Amino acid sequence: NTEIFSMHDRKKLPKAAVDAALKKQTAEKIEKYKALTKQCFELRKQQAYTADSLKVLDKLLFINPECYTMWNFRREILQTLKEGKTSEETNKLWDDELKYNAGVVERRDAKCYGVWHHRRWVINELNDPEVEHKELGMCDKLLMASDCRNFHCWGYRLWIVERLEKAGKRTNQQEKDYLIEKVAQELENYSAWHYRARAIQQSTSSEGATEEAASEIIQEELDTALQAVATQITNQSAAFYSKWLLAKAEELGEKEAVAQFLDNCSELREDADAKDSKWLLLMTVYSATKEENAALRDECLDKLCEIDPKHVGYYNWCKAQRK
Amino acid sequence: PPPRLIFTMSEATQAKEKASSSPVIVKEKHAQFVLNLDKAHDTFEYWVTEHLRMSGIYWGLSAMFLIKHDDKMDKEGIVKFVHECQNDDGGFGGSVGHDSHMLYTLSAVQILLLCEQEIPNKDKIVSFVSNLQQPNGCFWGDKWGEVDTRFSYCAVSCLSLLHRLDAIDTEKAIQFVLSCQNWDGGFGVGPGQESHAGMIFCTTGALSILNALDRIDIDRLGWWLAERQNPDGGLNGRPEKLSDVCYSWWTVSSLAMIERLDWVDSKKLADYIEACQDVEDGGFSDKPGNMADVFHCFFALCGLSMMGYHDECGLADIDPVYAMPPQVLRKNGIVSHLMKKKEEGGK
Repeated sequence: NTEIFSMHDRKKLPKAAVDAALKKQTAEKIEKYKALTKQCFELRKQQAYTADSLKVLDKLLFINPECYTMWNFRREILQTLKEGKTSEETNKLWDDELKYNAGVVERRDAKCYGVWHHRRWVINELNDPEVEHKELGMCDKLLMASDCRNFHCWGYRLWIVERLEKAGKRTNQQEKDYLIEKVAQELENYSAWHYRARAIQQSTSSEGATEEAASEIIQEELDTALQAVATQITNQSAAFYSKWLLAKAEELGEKEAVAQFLDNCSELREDADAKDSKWLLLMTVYSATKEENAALRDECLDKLCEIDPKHVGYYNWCKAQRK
Repeated sequence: PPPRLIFTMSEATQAKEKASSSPVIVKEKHAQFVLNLDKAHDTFEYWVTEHLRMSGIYWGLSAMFLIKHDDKMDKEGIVKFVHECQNDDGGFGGSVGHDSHMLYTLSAVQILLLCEQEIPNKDKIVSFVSNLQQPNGCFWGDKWGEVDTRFSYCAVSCLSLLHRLDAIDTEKAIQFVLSCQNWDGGFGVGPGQESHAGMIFCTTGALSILNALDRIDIDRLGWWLAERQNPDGGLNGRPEKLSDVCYSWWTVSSLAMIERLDWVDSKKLADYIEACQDVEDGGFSDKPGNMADVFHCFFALCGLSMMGYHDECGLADIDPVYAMPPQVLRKNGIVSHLMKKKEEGGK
């Protein structure tokens, strides 16, 4: 019975709850853990790079995956075990290791730097695009089941995607398709919007990408952002995304697209419920770039000062900016 | 007609009203909380955090500096522990017998400076750190190859504290960090990874030390950071996340470094930090009502100090770039760009 230990989100218990039985249980748990740790460090001292040592480490690292020195020991063992093995045997070695590691991620701690780093190390050793493809499935499963904002998982996923793209086994379009699906599943998934922005950056700056193609992509994305905020007026991801897209549109000289975006925002604001929504006001401000929109821009900034006083410093700074 | 006003608040009450609007920080309790940490051998937490003890000591010792009770720490014992954690490669592990790692090497150097000690095997430390720099400018955490912007900060800060930035390729280090700036102005764990306030502290800090802050989009970053402030007054680390008092460090120090502290509401944040205080047993928790720990305690106090509550709450200063007391830095010939600005401003 091992509880996940984390420094975050631990409720403070009233003192009476920490009774004698719990104290005894904790003392036993500590003794067990100390003995296990001692055993592992001893094995390493003896340079016991064996499969048996791995089994002991299995236990320790499941209890405390943050014990980084023991992941180092684990890698030393694996480096020894892979020596003189057939390719079939080493494939099994890595396959078992990936399975163990997945168990730690899925059942113990999905947010431990050391666990994900070890997984990359194994994938690097394996160097097999077929396996890497399967990793995408593992990541998506975790994002769906556990936490769609897990940045360790997203970061690992990015690493896999980049490897596959580099090997010509995956396209930028496939990535864009996946990410729009994630956004559709959860409009407020900033992580998905982030990786979509990255995919868009890639496609607008890749070799052979024309300015016309880039403009078209940017305009499509501006529509996507509008749709998101129209569906969910409290969506802040769309506001951040729009800010970036509008700046890009300006860069490309797409004044028409920016003006259209402003019109669309104003239209959305005709709804009484949406009129003073913070994010819609910000999207209006960011698209009201022409001199003729100066009054509207100031009006929105004043409203923002009123409804979101903690950011008054920023809004006043915006007012002082004159393009 | 409304009654004619015949009362005015007495001066004493006026003073009380003004004083009560400042956060009340129970420094004695926090001092005891920190001192008790080393005695907590009967908690499971103590044993499963052994691998990061070096950082734990840095957080505890630094918290004591902030509440001006550092004289109560067993500095001799601490220094002995630090020495025992240095390995043959010059680096430091998180505890005795643990492998060298970038994270704990920085914490070790910081602790030694706080305790006014000589740095043992300085050249070996410099080698350990500089050998971890890769061709693209990034830094590994150790020989096993993990890449993370946290390690860029650790390396740059550590070498800066030792006056040995010459040992690395600083331009490449800057370029790698710049390659991690995202579309939204923030920085993540590595190139292309989602912006996160913790990583933003690391990248902004590294760039500050390397005099390259002018090479990033400050305003875009500033707004992203400002938006970390939630309606409850607390700060989060990324959009749509709950407030956590540790972001009173990561987010606030970043805002301080880019001089946009006025883009958040200090008073509301100070109130949130106060709500996270454990007035019974000392320390601060991530959210009001949760269990306190030394990590959140240190960062909560940092937040208050950096936002200007140091006088009102009787806290010491802390430099947002190096996360250390300015007087300790100055004594070792180190001046952050903020310390420089303060001196020039005649504050």
